[in-house]
Amino acid sequence: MLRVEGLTKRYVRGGLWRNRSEVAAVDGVDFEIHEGRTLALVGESGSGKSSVARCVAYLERPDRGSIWIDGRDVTARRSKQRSRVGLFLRNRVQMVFQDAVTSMNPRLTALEVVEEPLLIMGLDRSLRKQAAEKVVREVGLPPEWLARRVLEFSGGQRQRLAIARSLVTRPRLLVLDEALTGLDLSTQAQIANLLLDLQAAHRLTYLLISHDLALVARLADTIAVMAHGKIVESGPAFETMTSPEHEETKRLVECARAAQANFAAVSGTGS
Amino acid sequence: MTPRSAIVGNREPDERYRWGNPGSEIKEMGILCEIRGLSVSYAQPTGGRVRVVDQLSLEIRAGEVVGILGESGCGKSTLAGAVLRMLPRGGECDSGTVVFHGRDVLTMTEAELGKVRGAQIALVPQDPAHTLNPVMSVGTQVAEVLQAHLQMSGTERWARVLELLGEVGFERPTEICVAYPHQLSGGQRQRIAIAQAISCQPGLVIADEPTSKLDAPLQAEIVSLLARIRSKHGLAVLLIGHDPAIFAGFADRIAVMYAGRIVEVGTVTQIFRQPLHPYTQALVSIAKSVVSPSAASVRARFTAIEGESPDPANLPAGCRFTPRCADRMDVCSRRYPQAFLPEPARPVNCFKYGE
Repeated sequence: MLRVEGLTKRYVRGGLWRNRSEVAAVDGVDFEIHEGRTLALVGESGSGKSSVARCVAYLERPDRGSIWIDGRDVTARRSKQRSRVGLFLRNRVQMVFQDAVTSMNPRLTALEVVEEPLLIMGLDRSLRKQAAEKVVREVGLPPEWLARRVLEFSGGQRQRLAIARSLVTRPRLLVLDEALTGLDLSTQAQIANLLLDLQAAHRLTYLLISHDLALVARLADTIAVMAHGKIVESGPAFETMTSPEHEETKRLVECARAAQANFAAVSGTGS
Repeated sequence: MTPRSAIVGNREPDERYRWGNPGSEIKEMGILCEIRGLSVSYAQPTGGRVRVVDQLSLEIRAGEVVGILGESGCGKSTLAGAVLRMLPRGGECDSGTVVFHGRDVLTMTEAELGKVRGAQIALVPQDPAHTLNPVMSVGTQVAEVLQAHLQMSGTERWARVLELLGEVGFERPTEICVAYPHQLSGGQRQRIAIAQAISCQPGLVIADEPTSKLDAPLQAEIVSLLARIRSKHGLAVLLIGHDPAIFAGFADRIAVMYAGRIVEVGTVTQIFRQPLHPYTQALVSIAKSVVSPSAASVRARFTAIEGESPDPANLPAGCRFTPRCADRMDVCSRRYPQAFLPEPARPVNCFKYGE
């Protein structure tokens, strides 16, 4: 489904003339995800995981390397080809952004938010409405709520709306950038269940970006750990979590465990 | 103004630095702050008022860490705002008292309040990125708090600032002192906010989700820093959060809040080992399933509480958890359960424990 080879992304840092330097946020990253599977990219802030996500979602162009989606290289250079790639990708890859509360215009109605991708694709009104109603029902919201404004929705409901917006073009691959971060525990569990259900129903492929190793270990098939722009370890989720090999992975596992150690001790949960 | 030199040394304890309230005698574990029947409501844009904290009572003993566990929208931050009298526009306390050191915070004059707020009751905010001044060095901002509340010379003040920065875990206080908030990481900014909060040795620190904007490793660090400061100085903490994990190993007692009311109170061990209220039981079981992943739990569905917290403007009749409760009975939707005491000092508002 998705194959990434030698992906490199550099950013320019510093002033216009002085102190100008380049930073390789992503430095030669390779991975692949099979259809219907989930790969979690974990690492601490600044490890480059969000840059990989943005390249895969076609929001940024990589400096080097190639990204193959359904057997087609989408890192085309020439602008004419690029617009064609955009069309090709629209119903294959969509992204769910971090913090649904701030990534949506609160004054729009839910319908306007969810149908926007279809508007850009040039579908007419009745088709858009039909598709929006179907998709919000799938994410567990009543279709009547489409007339409400975004600001009337709670945090968890906005996250559902964000997922509906990304699913409305019927993509094959969802890039989820910290989609479960900052939610209440019970909402987080609900959204995680929703993602699992949607994946089973539509054979979706997920690229999950997170810093929370304990959580992604339960959602992903494979975990790839990133540090300083490189993938330092990857393997099946549970094995990576229980027997980490690389220092960075060990550190992340240790942190996840330390954060929960007190709770485990007090609540009598063996870890 | 920059600190002239790092004159941090072993100094004799100064009377002004005495933790708690200078001049008043706090008996060991006497009641420091007592909230009785507190109700807070907000004005609605459409007119009318919505009550978000309803008849809430809670006591905090001197040196005790009390956790408020609840999900977003349950009114826990409003409670913090009410105790400090820092409610957002439109928010007002309708009834109740907040007695701190024998005096009601809610009826104090602004001048009296100015002496208490920041000095005796301090706040560690949720996101210091929003509360720190971006164009002022962090050292100056810590010094400002000292200047507002304590009489001391400039030299003394800067010495104290450096001492505080050292106390919150900065290895090079002199360098951090002159930095601006944007030059610091989220975790470092939170440390600055903690330094500000403890600068005047308050008796009570209110920490409103102090770790919710931080990465998991940093969360543990900030909580252990708070725990260290608390045990060193014996201050009381009102810790507000939605993740049970931050309370463990730090809080003494936990009050579980749902839709504006406290539904259960107990010690940390009681709440996490034998939660009594169905809401607490569900929350704790979710937290436990995250803590101990097993091979079987990989890609298995999570335990979740179905439904959403109720809208404060449109609360269900009777017990507010009824629509989501797995153990609901007929009586639950008829009236609100009073606090039953299935065990001593373990009030639970649930009809499972009495009629």
